[in-house]
Amino acid sequence: MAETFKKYLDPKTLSRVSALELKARQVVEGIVTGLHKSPYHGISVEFAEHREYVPGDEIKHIDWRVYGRSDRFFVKQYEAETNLRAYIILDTSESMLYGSKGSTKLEYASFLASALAFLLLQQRDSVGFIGFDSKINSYIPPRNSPRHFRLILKELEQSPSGPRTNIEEVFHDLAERIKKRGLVIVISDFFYDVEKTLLSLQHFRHKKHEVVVFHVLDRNELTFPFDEMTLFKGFEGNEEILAESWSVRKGYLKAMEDFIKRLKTGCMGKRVDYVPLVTDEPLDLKLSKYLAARTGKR
Amino acid sequence: MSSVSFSNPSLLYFALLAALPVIIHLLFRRRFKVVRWAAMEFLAASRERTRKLMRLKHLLLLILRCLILVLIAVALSQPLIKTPGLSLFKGRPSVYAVIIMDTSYSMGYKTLNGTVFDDAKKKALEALGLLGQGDSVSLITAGWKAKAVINEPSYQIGTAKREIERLAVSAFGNDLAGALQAAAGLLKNSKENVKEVYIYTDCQSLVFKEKEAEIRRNLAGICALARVYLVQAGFGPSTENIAVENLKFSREVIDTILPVRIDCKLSNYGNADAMDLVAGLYIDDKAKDSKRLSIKAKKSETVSFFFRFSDSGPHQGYVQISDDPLVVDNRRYFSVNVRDNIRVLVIDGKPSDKPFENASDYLVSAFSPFDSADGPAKQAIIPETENLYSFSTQGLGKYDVLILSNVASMNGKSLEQIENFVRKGKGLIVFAGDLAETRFYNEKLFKEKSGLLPAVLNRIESVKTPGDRFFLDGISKDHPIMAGFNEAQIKELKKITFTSHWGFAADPADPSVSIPAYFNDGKPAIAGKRYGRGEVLLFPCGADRLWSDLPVRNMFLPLLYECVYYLCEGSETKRNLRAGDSLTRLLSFSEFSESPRLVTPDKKMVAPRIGASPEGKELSFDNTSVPGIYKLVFGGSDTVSDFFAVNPETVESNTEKAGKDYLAGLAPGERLTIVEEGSDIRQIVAKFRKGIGIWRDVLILLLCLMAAESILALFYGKRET
Repeated sequence: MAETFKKYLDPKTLSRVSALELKARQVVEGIVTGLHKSPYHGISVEFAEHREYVPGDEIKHIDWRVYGRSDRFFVKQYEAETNLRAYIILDTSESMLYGSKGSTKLEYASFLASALAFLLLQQRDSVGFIGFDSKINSYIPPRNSPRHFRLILKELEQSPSGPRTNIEEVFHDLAERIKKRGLVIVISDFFYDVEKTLLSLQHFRHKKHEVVVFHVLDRNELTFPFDEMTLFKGFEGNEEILAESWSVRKGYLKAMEDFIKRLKTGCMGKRVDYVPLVTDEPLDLKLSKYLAARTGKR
Repeated sequence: MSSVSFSNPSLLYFALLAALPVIIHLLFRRRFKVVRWAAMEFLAASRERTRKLMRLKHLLLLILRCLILVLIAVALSQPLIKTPGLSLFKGRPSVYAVIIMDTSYSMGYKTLNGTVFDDAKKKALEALGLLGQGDSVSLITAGWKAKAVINEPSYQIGTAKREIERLAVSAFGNDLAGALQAAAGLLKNSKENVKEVYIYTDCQSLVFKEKEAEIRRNLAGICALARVYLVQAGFGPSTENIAVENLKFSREVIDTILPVRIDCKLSNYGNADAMDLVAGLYIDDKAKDSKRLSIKAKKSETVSFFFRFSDSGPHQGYVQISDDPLVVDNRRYFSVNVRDNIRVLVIDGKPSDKPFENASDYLVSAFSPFDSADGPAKQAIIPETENLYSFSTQGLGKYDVLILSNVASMNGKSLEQIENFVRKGKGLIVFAGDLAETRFYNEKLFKEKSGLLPAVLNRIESVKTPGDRFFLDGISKDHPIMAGFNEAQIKELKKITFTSHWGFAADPADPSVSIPAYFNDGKPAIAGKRYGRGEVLLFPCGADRLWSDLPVRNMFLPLLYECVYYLCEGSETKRNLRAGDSLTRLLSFSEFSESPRLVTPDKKMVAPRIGASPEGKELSFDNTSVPGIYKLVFGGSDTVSDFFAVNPETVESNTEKAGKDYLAGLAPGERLTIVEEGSDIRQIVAKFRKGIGIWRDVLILLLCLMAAESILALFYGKRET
């Protein structure tokens, strides 16, 4: 487990993103008003842990006894205080296994997932994890306990890769399954029909979820740097294409550009955050940049 | 319709390289990199969109590349087309033409339109008209000895035309084989791709057949290098020709005493009998005799003239028949030096006061057969006698022949003078009798083959029993001494008997030695040897009756005369020459200070060369190309000191033509073309000449294709982004 922790939690990334917070831009169903406004009113009494006071925390939750001992403000955290339910949905299909510079898209996505989970759990949000390809392979309901993080990491490591992506079916299924409003984070290369992908993302939105899409691509997929006769072997299925790279490059790049453009435009139209990521870019930089921008938007 | 041919068709095999791009394409299709790829959907879409276009582009590039390689091979092969308009450029491959002109005298055969040679020149000029700028030409004459008039390829066609116009028929025979060999040498050195050889000849059958093997070989050699056009010049139906050939005198030494017989062979090479032909003898430009005769077609007749020269000294003349189409062989020239008499000095080695007991009486008697009561007759041979003690070599020069009769030995100075005497062309007869000292004969006269004698004296051979006799057995009719004797005379010669004789040991392999007769014991009976310009005859016995009955035999006198005349021939200057032979003559002491001049038959005055020879100072002249009489004069005098007769080869007189089939068979294959009389050389050459070179066009097309390929590759190929 220690290895898994190390594998997915790059200290550099964590140190950079931990200073930031992933804030929901809409009302979520949490009861603790701190980071997120909760549409629900009810109290959970089960003490979970202390957390350092941050501006905006209710004064009444300050543990004065701790203050008396340490001269620092801490607030009490309870299980029921989760103000956000976040679902990290990770595409584990075989197309995510492609990687040109050592790490695959899936590894990069896993880094991202773990970083986000860590960040959310750090701010006492509940994090759930769903791994999918043509179907849902793993499902961890949202929790906000530290142990839960370890569970997610374990799942990240063990999540099997399926041959094909079926975003449409999986997302519709999930949209129906997730009852409470929350933050839906989708990490995928989205090598699927764009219209169907957008329609399924629309389903999440329809269920009042805030949706963030992390579009993970490899640099080679964006530049197509091949220069000779090449046999391209697909990850999903047995598809093979023998082509002169130089002759198909132009068409490929245009198709890829169209795909990204359509996905991005579609996401924006549906008020879905679209975050493009390339696996050779430092994750910490990209993530912190995104979080900072998100904070600014709030 | 224009046809395409190639100068170097073998290089077309390089066109097979056109398969290379296809092979490379197929090989590269098998060599590819394998990449695991996720975004297959986009790739498939792109490929689907570009597949047909790319296939078309690839096909276009492949065709271009194959075409480029094919065109490289085509350009290397130097393509030629026969339609000039199809070429962007006016140029055509340069032609190197070798013109061979038969200048043998048969080319002077007259036809209705001039001579055969005129026709050959006209046709040669026509062929030169087919050459243009950039073409080169060489010119060879095939007369006697082939000569390259224009050796190095000349690009001045005008100059070549002028050279051809200047050419004239020679008095020589034909050296076609030599001319072909010379042409082969020139062709080998030429770098031009199109080579042509034009042979202009009257196609005399005899000339071709005489050297057929050599002509075949050389013709095959040049056919391998060039296209050969054998052009029949003046090839009319008429071959009528009567030639004066083989003019011979009955003897070489001519005097004013005896008439000489002049035999002249006349040959009719025509297809019709020659009736009432007149052959005239002209001496010193005056008609002396004439004979009327008929000669059947393809036959020869000999006509004989008898003539006695009244004056001594040099004379010239000719035998002439009436004109026919080939003029040059209608007259045959001769030159003779007529003597008043022949002076013979007999050295008697066994002097005696008693008549016929010495060694000279029989000889002197033999040379003076016409003494009668009326006084001494006019003698052809004037003998003088001296004994060894009174013999002085000072006046030796006035004699023609010296006879050493039974001389035992003599001092070295005398011997040296005798050697000089013979070396200058005079004759020596040695009768080795009983007094002959073998040591002197072998050591001083034979001198290990370097001396005067043709043989070494071994020992005296004598009959074993008193009744036995030696006699002449092996008589060589080929030897000039014996050639004049008939069968009866030969029989008489064989009746001469000998009781003893010196045994000779002559080397028959020595080319200077000749043996006219042998004894019945196999030993030489007479031995001859050329020494300098003169000749020595050795008899193995004395000129007396001690060992033989020779002096009293009726054949003694004819044999002696033949020997003397034979020896005198050596002193005669060679005055009757073939065209092209060098003219040489020893100068007498009195002529040394005078500057000699030769007047050629065409009235030109030329200076002969003066040089030294072992025999003395001599003049020589090489350019005896004009038949006729060459006159030798000294200083400013008009007096002719000598005449030289130059006659052409008689082989050219046979005007029978070789047929087309025979000529074509000389070099089987398509490289030899016989251009018959009446054919248009322009059409024939145009048919075989390969046409206009379009390699420049091909090169331009090649460059365009290469540029197109580069541009297409740039847009379609790897540089496509």
